[in-house]
Amino acid sequence: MTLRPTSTPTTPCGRIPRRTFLADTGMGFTGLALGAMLAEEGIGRTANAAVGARTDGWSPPSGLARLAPKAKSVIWLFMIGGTSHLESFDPKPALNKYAGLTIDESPYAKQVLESPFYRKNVRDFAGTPRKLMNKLYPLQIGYRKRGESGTEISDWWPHLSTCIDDISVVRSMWTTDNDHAAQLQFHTGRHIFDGFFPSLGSWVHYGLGTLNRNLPRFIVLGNPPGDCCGGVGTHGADYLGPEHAGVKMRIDPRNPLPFGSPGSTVFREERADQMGLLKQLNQLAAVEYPGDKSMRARIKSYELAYRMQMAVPEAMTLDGETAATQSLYGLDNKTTRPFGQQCLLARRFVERGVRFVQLYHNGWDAHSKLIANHSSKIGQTDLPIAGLLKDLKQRGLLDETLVVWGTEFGRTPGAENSDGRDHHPYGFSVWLAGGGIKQGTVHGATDELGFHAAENRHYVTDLHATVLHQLGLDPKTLEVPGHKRLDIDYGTPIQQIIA
Amino acid sequence: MPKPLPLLVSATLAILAIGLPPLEASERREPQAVDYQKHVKPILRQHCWACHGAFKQEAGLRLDAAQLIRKGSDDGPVVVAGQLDHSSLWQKITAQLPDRMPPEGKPLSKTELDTLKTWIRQGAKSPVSEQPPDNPTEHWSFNPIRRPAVPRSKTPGNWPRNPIDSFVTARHTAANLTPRPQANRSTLLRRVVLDLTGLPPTRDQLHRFLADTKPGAYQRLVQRLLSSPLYGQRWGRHWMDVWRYSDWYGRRGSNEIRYSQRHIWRWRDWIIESLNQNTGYDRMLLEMLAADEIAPGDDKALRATGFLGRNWYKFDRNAWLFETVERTSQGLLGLTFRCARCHDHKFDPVTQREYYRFRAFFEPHGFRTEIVSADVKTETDNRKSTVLSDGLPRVFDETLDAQTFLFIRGDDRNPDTTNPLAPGVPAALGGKRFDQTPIPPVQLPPIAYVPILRPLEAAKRLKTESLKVQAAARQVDSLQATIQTTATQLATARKSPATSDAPNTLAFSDSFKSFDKSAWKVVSGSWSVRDGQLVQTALGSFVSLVSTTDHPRNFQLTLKYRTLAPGNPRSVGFSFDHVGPKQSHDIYTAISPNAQTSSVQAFHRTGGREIYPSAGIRRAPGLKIGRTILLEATVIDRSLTIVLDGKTVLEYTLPMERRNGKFALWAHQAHAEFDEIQIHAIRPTIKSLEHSLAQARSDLPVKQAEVTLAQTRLDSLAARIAAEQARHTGDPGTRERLALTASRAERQIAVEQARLKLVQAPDSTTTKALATAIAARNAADGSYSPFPATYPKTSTGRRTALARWMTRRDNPRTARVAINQIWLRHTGQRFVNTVSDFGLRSKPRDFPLLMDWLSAELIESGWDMKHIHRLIVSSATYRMSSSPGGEPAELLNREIDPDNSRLWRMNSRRMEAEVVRDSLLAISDTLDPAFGGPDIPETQGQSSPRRSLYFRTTPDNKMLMLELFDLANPNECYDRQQSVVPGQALVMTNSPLALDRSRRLARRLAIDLTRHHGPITDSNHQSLVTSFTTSAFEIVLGRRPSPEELTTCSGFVEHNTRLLIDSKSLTPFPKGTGSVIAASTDPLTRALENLVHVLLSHNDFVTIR
Repeated sequence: MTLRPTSTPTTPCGRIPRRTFLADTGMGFTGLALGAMLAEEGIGRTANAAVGARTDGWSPPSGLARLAPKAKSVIWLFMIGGTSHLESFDPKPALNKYAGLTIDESPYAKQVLESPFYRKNVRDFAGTPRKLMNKLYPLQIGYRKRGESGTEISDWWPHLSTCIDDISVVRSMWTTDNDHAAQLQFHTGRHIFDGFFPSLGSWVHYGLGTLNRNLPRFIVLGNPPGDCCGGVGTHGADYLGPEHAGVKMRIDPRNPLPFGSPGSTVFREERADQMGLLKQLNQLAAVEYPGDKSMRARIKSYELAYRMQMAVPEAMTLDGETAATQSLYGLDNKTTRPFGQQCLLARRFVERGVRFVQLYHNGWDAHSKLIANHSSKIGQTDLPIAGLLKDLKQRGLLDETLVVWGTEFGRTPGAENSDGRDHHPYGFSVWLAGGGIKQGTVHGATDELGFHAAENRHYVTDLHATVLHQLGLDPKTLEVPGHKRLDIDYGTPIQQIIA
Repeated sequence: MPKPLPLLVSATLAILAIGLPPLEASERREPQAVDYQKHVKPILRQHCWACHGAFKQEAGLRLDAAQLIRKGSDDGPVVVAGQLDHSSLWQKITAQLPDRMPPEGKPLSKTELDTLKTWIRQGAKSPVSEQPPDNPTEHWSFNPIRRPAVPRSKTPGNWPRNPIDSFVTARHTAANLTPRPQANRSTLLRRVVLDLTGLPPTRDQLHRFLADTKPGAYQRLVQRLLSSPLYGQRWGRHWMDVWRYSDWYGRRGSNEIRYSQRHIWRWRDWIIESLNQNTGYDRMLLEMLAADEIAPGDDKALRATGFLGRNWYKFDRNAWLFETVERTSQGLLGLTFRCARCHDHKFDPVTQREYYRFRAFFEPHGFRTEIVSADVKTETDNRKSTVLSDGLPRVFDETLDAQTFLFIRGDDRNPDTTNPLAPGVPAALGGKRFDQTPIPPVQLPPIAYVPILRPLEAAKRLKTESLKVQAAARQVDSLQATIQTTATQLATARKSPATSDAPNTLAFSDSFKSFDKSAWKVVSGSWSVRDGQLVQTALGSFVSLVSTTDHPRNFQLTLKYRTLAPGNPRSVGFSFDHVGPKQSHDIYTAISPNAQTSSVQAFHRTGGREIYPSAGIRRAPGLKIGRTILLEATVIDRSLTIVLDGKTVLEYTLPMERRNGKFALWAHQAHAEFDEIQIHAIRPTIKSLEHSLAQARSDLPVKQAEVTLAQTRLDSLAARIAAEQARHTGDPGTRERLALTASRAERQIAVEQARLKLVQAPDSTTTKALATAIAARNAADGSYSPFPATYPKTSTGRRTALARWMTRRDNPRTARVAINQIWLRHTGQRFVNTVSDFGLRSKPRDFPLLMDWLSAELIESGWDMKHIHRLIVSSATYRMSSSPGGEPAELLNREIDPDNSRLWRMNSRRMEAEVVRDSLLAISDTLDPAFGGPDIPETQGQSSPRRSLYFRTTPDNKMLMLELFDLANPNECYDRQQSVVPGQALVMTNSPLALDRSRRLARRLAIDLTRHHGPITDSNHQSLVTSFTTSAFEIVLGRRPSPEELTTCSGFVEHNTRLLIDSKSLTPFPKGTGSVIAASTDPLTRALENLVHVLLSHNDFVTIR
């Protein structure tokens, strides 16, 4: 599949002869593309070269990866609220052993409290440090070794456990925000005090060409974080411009896109007629403005919008999926259906060439009633996620699709004077699968209490760098004029989990 | 401290360096010849120049020119040809930290090291002489603006119309370019009208302008446009971009503000008003940064400080001040300061210290909200604090002695407290001149620190007091009415004593055999009848069952019930005079789980509040969960008696006037069972009427005394306010006189209090107390309770000093930054490409002389922005066609300068988001051009006809339609994107706004046509479609259609009509966002609607040609 549209031949100085121009706008829409696609032609962004700040020798990324890519697409599963690493992917027997003791009374007091990382990295809201949840709280669920890899995982994840040999768990993540704005940080690599920055998905959108010219390149499903925590900034594009932001879609094939349909009182035939007129009128006006790239881009954008109106509902219609597939994702069960639909749509999107699908699942903030909360939240996601991995695998898509599971932070080893755990930025887990990631490994470790990321520590930008690297983008050089992707903390790909 | 670069490195380090395996490996290869210019210089530039270059010369070393490299550092040569071991440069770059160079960041890569090694080994060859880079402070943007001479030029046609053209022509001539002729009149009209007002020209405007062939027509048009208040809305939005306007955001749902200021829209309105009044740019900056210091009593000017308030951040003062420093410097000075937060700027001559000295200007400031009317309302925020529902957020210096420290490596946890920093501006921008004088603090007028001196604050306080007077007076009125009616009743009763002395009658009873729907209405909770008991089992707040009828005014209640678990505090009660959940008298019993604080109470609800007077509370320790309670109450007029289980526990005077109402049973956080309720009407007897009358008559003087007291309080407040005003501003005579009045008025309160007590209880004590109070009043000496100064009496003057420095004639940046913005927004072209960075990394500027000439013109005209607009839009340059043209000379233009960087034609530009939406509304005559007011929720964007700049815009709240058209990023937007994306096409084709507006416009045009030409017939059909198309083009695109366009459109109308005649065979779209106005049922009209709708999608509709 070619990534580039058939370009219009240009004269050496970049002018487009009038005849060629008319021919292109009038007949062959051989290279229809999305906004970012147009940007690759230099017309999506700033229409008139003289207008643009982009004449300093810089050009947008070519759409071709710079390194050899191992993955084509990303499915990004984000659990909002903070999933307990301890009751999921990083079980700690010491918590059962010393349950009820304070951290000071445990043999690990020094290791935790005198660690160079304790409170040093955290940037507190309103200058008040969060209390240390001192009293160790036992694991609320059992755990065991699973799969051939023998990775320990909690018993709340029976379905994902069957996929454990496809997964690389990273147990040594850390972040600097101990409140839920860590959600923003998880996606932009910046603390909310530093403001808003483009999200990882928007960088992928910006950095890569599209594989499907009728669908957005970066799609968001589910409810994004609240305004407290970055809001839509977690899939926003900030200075990259809105065309690189995630397009949030409703799980409703009848009306999935904003302004996706004029309503049922308008007929497709009359609209087609209108599109014909529009094209003709624009062509007539174009005679006065040969070489007007912006007009060319606009004409194409209308054609594309018209096609998106058709393609998006098709991609979102699940009726054609077999009963077996639907049940693989838990669509036949009330509990698992909502997230199952998101996961199945994610597969359909990557199958159709969408680059980045970001899924949100809410409600993990288990300050109390951890058992009820996590058993329910995991119950809603465990089967669909496992279904997604299995389905991708059986279709041969897992090799080229990078699946990332993450959450903004973990939960404290101590109880919060209740039957729950508090926010924990010092050490938590994420996992990756497919897309050139090693199978069945565990990388990094927290200390015995699951408090600090202790071995192979990774700040969230390392995860970003890993994703970009697998897609063939260089995390260090991805930038736009006037803006580095990150001024510091570019992150380094986690080589140990790369196959 | 510069580190000396030692000639000889310690043996260990030398060994380490030599022993590095990668170096060894590379030694075996035969290296290619290394070229200084091609290979070496880029490495030095990247890694070394920041500290060893024109900018800084650590250890006296510069590595940015060949002869300087050879010269070496203060300690001698650093490169010895052919001798790695003696080249300290080599030693340094291969050493370990902390000796390694560069000391920060990554070491040189292996390839880079190899290159330098080979270069030194091969003899460190470099040119004999090489021009070192200029001293960075000589960069144009660090030097004051000098007005350049206007070039003499002679060009055919109307060139030059003004000096702008002379500068542009000079560039044309030099490059052999031929400027394009003036755009045709309709294009020019649309361009200038959109540029100056943000709305497309109306059809009338078009016709008038095309008809006005008299000389000066264009100039007159420009004058009209600049005088139009629409100008302020248009350019207000531009400056809102640059100044980073954002409405407040955080969590709207719980009314929690996290960023910006509530009511910051007043700043937006100030921007628009100031532009319309043509306030100088200098004055605008001064007011934005320091209105509280230069115009402390001027609420209109204080709105300007929203510029600073916008950066407010709830959780982190440092994040707030970082934003203030960086946004002020970027937006106003074209200085990217951010990197100097952590270290000296690598590219521009500004240091980290200077960053923090700049911060010191803002260190003392805080924000507060003033009231804006005496009737101001309040609301509750997420912390249950009361906040003003409307107000004026304004800056003030809050912490005068706040110290500023440099944060080591930018880390706010690591301030260098040994070294407090004074405010200052970067030396490279003329800071030395600034530092010569210390900043004088500003003495504020009392109105700025004594809130009561603000007329509105005084009015609000006076209003509160006068409301109390009115309330007291109403009580007197009501009492007098009672006296009158009671007297009448008594007279009647005396005439026929038999009837009026009838015993009490049963007015209501229910023993709950079944649920009587005619008697009760369930308001909340779960009420049911079981085994002769009324049972309430839902837990909630004041779960209520209300009667369907009113109770008698005077009555006796008997209520038998049990309180059941669960809940806390487990209250069960009875309401009377129940007008609604917000207005009632109530009695109840409460049982706490530990039974320690069980009680019986009377309270009342009014205006949405529950009021629990302590006089209405009695302990009732005997109450128990599950045990039957017998509650009896007697209410006669304002007196209430409660008898609990046969014992009188409370005798109480109801504090609130009685009203006729219903009664109710309720349970608050409790389950309850009721056995029986009885209400007897108490008929007045002659005796009771006599008693009531006597009571009322004796109450009257008390109530009257209360009115006098309230009035005295009001008078005293007014007198104190007047005295306070005179104390601060009046002449000594007035001051003394008013102080005496206030003193007397305040002591009069004690007199009236004593009178009230005397009336209530006339005895020797109260008589004596009154005499004492009168004596004290008579001895009034001019002393009274003063009003406190709530805020500091001085301001540091720092922000004024900063603003004045910015707008000095010799400030190298301010005017240039502004001119660049204005030029960009008129021509689509920048003088300096990076509008917020005029530093050394910015590209060489275009038209430097014109830029400086315009900047000088801006300053010397008194920072008159309308003057600059007029100059620009009047120039021949601005008026050129944006079409590249097809004549041979013009084809040559395209060869020579394809990007039009030398402006041989005007640029076409995409309208800003707001202009697109406003134009949609304007062409269908439905735009509401109203000015000002609170931000409108962005969700109303498709329905509200207000101009787009009035809708809420924050990083969390953006109108989707505007966002798709590259709405300004409220966090940072010094210039806008002009993207072309499919989402825009979807908005223009499918949004309710576009569908409705095209239908509305089409129908209006169709009606106009049939009015003038009669109904459509076969014979006039063609000409009517032509007229329709012409009008539609004129309104939507601002021009007449060409013959080809007319033919195309009429072909469409014909085809589309035919298609719609048989609509049964057509395929509908799926359900969408919908529209308000349905498509016409008449196929021809619908085809015409479709035609207009297509024109909205025309590239020329969203383009300024």
